Amino acid sequence: MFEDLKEGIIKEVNDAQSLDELKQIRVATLGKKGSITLITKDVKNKSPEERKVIGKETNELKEYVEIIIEQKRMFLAERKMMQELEDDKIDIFLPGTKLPSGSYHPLTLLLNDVIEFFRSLGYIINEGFEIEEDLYNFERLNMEKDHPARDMQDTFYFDSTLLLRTHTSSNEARALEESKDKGPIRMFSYGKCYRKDEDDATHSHQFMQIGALVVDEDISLSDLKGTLTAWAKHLFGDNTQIRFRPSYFPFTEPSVEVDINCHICGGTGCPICKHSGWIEILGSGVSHPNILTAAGYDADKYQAFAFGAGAERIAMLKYGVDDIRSFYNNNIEFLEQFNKVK
Amino acid sequence: MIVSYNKLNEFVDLNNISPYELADILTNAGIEVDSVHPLAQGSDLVIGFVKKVEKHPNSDSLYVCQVDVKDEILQIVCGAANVKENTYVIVAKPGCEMEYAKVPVIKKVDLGGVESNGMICSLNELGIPEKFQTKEQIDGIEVLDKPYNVGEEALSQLGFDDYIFDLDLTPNRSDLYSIYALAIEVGGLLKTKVKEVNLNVETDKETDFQIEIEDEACLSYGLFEFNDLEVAKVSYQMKNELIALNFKDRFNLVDYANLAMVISGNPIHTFDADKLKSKTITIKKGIETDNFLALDDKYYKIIKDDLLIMCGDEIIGIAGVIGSKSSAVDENTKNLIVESAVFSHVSIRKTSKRLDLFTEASTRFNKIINPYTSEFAIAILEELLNKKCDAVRKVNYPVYKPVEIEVKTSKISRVLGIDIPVETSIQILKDLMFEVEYHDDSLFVKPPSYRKDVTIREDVIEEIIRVYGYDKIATTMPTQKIVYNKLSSKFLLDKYTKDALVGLGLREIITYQLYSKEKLDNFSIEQEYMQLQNPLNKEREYFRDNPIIGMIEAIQYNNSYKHMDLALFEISDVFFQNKPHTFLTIGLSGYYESNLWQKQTKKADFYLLKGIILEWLEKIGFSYGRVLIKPIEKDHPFLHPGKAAYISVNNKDIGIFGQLHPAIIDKFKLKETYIANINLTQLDNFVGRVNKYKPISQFPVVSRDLSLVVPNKVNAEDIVKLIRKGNSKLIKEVDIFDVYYGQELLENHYSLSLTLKISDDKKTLDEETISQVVNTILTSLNTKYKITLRS
Repeated sequence: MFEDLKEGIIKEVNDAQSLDELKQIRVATLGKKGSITLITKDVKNKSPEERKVIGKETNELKEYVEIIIEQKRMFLAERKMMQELEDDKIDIFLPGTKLPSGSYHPLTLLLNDVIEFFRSLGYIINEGFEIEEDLYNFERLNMEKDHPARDMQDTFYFDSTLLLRTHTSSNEARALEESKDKGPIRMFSYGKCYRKDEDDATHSHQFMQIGALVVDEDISLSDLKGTLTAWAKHLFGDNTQIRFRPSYFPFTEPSVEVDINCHICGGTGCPICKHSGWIEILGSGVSHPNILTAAGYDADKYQAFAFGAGAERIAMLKYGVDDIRSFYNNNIEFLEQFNKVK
Repeated sequence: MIVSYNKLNEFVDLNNISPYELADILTNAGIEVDSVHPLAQGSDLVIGFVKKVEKHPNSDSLYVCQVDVKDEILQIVCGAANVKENTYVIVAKPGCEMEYAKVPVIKKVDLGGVESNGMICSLNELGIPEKFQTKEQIDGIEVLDKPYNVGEEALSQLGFDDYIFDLDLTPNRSDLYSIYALAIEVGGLLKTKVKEVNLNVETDKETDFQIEIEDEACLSYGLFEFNDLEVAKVSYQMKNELIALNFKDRFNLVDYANLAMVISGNPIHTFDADKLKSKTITIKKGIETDNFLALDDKYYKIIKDDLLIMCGDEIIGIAGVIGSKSSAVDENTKNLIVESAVFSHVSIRKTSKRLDLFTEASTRFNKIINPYTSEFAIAILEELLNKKCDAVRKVNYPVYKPVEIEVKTSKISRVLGIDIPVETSIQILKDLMFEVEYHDDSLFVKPPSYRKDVTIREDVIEEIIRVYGYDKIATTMPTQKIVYNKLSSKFLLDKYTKDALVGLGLREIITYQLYSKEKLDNFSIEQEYMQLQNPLNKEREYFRDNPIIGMIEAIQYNNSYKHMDLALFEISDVFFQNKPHTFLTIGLSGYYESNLWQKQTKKADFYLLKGIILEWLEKIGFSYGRVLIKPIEKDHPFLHPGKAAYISVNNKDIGIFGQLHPAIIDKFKLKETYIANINLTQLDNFVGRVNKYKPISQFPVVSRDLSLVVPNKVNAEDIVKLIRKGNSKLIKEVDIFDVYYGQELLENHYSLSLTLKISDDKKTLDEETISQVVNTILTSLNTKYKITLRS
C-alpha cells in the first residue's frame, strides 16, 4: 500500500551521511508533520475497514522506519566516534616522562643481601667504630706493638692510641670484651675501614669490610667451611664451591685464605681468575686462643671462627666491576646500573 | 723473597718436578708463590763462534758476520757495535722463539740487501733485566768470557737454565728467608731427601778483636776472621746463579757473603780487616751525625735511636742496615772480618724506615731473625771460599733449648672438625723435622730451632692440616642455641631512610671520609676535624666532621661527565665532639623530573628539597606537626641566606637545607645546587614507622577557597598551623594554591589563597556549620595576625 513511500524512506536513510541528516529524515517521516504521521491523520475520512487496514500498515511502517533509522544512527554515531578518536591520535613513539629513578649504592645492595643471609642464621649485626683504639684494632687481636704483622696493614694513626680501623675485627674484639657471660657469640660485622694504600684499580685507602665471629664450645674449621660454602652459594649461585688455602693472620690459628671457583669461566681459566680457575675472596680461620683469653674467655672451653672480606672485592666479582675507585667516584652512569633488586 | 729452582735443588731433591708444579705445591702449603718465570727466555739457542766481521755494504751501523755454529757457517747481520771476530756468542737460528726479542720468532731476512740467517743475542733479548748488566752489555750483544762448545745448546752451558720464584712470605714464616729452611719445608712436602750441611764453625782460635755490646737492641754478636784471601770475579755460571737470586755480581768476597745470607737467612756483613783502626768493636746507640758515608757512596743522617757498629770511635756500620764506606771490602781486600749478629727487629725497622733504606740485610732484619743459625752463615762462607775461618769471637750466641708442646689428639679433632689418624699426624710433623712423641692420647712436639713460629698447640695443628690438606676439611654448620636479637635503632633508621629516599627517586652515593683542611673549611662550622699523623697526602689528611664536601665533589665529578640532573644522598658517620655522628646529606641539581619535548619539567629548587625532607620524615614517623622550619643567619658560610632553613624535629635542631651559596657554587664551578645536611643521631627517639588506621569518613567533603591579605612578617606555615589548630576535627586539609605580591594590596602585605577541605566524620555538614567554621578561622586570623579577607 505504501510501498513507494517505504522505498523512498529506505533510500533516504541509506543515503544519509550524518546524524543531522538522519535527524531531518526522522522529522520528515515520523515528526508531527512527517509523511507517515500525515497518513494517520488522513485516515478519518476512510471507512472503518479501510481505517483498520491503513492503521495496521502505517503502524508497521512506523516501526520499520524507527528500526532502520536507529540502526543507521548507531552506525553513524560509531563512525563519528571513530573519526573523533582518529583525530585525537598522538605519536606514541615520542619519549615518556623521565621520572626520578632512585637506586641503592651497589655496596648497600650487596650489604643488604649479605645481612639478609646472616640474619637468617641468627647472627647479630654490628657496625663498630671507624675511629678506633689501637687496643681493639691490634693489641686485643694478638698484635702487640711492633708485631711484624702490623706491617701487613699499613695504618692511619691520629696519635699513639687512636687510629682508623684497618678491619672490622676490632668490632669482634669489643664484642668479646662486652660479652657478659663469656659464652656463645654469633655476630656479623661490617663498616668502613682504612689502609694506607695509594688508590688504584684494585686498592682503595677507604673500603668496606664485612666479616663474622662465631664463638661456642666446639666451633671448628669444618663449621667455618660449611658456613662459607653456604654463603658463597647464596652470593654466587648454587654451583659455587670454595677452597681453603693455608695462610697467616695473627688473630687466627690455623689461618686460611678462601677461594671460590671462578664463576666467569667455570674453572677452565680466564683473566679474572688469572687462569687458575679460583678467585680469592677472603681471609679466615679458627680464632687464636690469645684473643679469647685476652677478652676473659676460657680458651680451653671455647673455640671460635672468624672471617673478613672486602665488600668491594665481592661486589666487583658479583657485578663485574673492574675498578674499585668506581664505588667512590659516584658517577651516575655507574650508579644507575644498580637499579635492580639484586 | 726471591729463590731459584737450581739453588733449591742443590739442597733438596726436587725429584724433577716442574717449577710450575713446585709453585702449586708451595702455594697450597701456605707459601704463596707470587710468580714463577724462567731466568732467560729463548728456545734452541746455541753457542756460536764469530769467524769474520765485515761492514755492511749499505749501512754504517750494521755488520755482516760469519758465525760458526758447528754444522754450518751462518751469515748474520748484526747491529751491535761490540761484535768482534774470534769471540763466542749466543746465536738464535731461524725458527728460534724469543719472547723478549723485537720479533717473537727469528726468521731468515733480507737486511739492506744482505741475507741474515739468525740473530746474535743480547742479554736484553734473553730477558735479563738491565740492573744486572754492564753498560756494554745493555748497548750490545753478549760476548762470552771464554770458549764454549760451539753448536751446543747455550742456556744450560751458561747457567741460564733456571727459574725464579717470587715468594710472598707471611710474617710468621720469616725462617723461610733461608733457602735451606725452605729446602727442609719442600723436603717435608715432597717427602724427598734434604742435603745435610755443616751448621757450625770449627775454629777455636780467638780473634784479637774485642766485642762490647752496650745496647740491648743487639741480641748477639760474632766476628769471624778470614785471612790471606784473593779477590776474584766469580764464574759466568755463578754470575747467573746470583742473578737468579736477585744479586748482581761484584767480586767473590761480596758475592759469597750474599749467597751465605740467602742460604742461611742470616745477613752477614764483611769488613776489610786492614781498614779497621781499632781492635775494639762496640755496638751502641746515642750518637748523632749528619754525614755518615755508607758503602753505597751516599751520606746518611744518624740519630740517637740508631743502633751503630763502632770501631774505636769510628762508625763502621748502621747495625743491620748498611756498612760504612771506610771499612768496606774492595778489590784490594786481603783479610776479612765477618760479622754475624742478631739485632732487635724493632730497632732495625725504625732506622731503615726513617732512612727509607731497605737493603737485602735490613729486609731480613726487619723480621725476626733466627738466632741459632748465625754460625751457619759463616759455615756456608767457609765452603764458598774453600777456606776455614781463622779466628772467632762470639758474644751471647744462644743454645737452642726446644720447648715441648702438648697437643691432645681430641683437641686436633675439635679444632678441625675431622679426625686425622694419629700416625699420619706424627709422620707429617717428623717430615718437617719436628721431634714427636705420642703417649696418653697426646702428641708431645718439639719444633726445630728455626720454627720459632710454632709455640702453641694450635700452631702444631696448623702444621698438620696444612700438609694433610685443607680439602679434607668437612663442611658442617655451627649447632648453637638460637638467641633472639634486635636490630639497633641506628641500623633501622639508616635502612628506612635509604628505603624512603630511594623510593623518592634519589640515588645513594658513598664518598671518602678523608679530605684536606682547605676543602673541609668550606663547610665546617666548628672546624674540629681530626688530623692524621701519617696521611697518604695533603688531600687525605683530615677525618671529616661534615659530609657535604663528599656530596659537592660527587656533583662536580658528574658535571664533568655532563651528568647535570642529579638527585643524590649519602648516609655517613662523621666525627666531632669526640664521637661519631650519623649524617644524611642530600644534593639536588638540574632536573628532578622532565619531559623536555612537552616543555614539562620539575627543576631542583628549595621547595622540592623541602618536600623530599618532609616526605622522608613522614615516612620514618615524624609527621608534619612535629617538624619546624626556621630561617638561617644572614652570613651563612655555604648556604644562600634567603633560600635556606634550619629544620627541627620535636623542638631539637637536626639539620639545615637550602640553596648552595653563590660563592661556593662559583668556587666549585657548579650549577644551581641544593643541599641538605641532617644529623640523624639527633633523631635518637626514632622507633620506626608505626602505621595506624583511622576509619575513612562516609560523609561528604566541602571545599572553601579563601583569599587572604597577610602582613609580610606572617608566614604561610603560621597561618596553616593556626587554621588547623582552630578546628582540627573538621579541617581535613589546608592547601595553598596561590601567593601574590602586588602593588594594589596594602603596603607590607601579600596575598595568600587557600583551599580548605571541611568534613565531619559523623554527619553531613550543613551550610550554617560550614559558614561558622570559616568565620571562626577568619576571626582568629584577624585577631592574631591582622589578616583580612581580600575583597
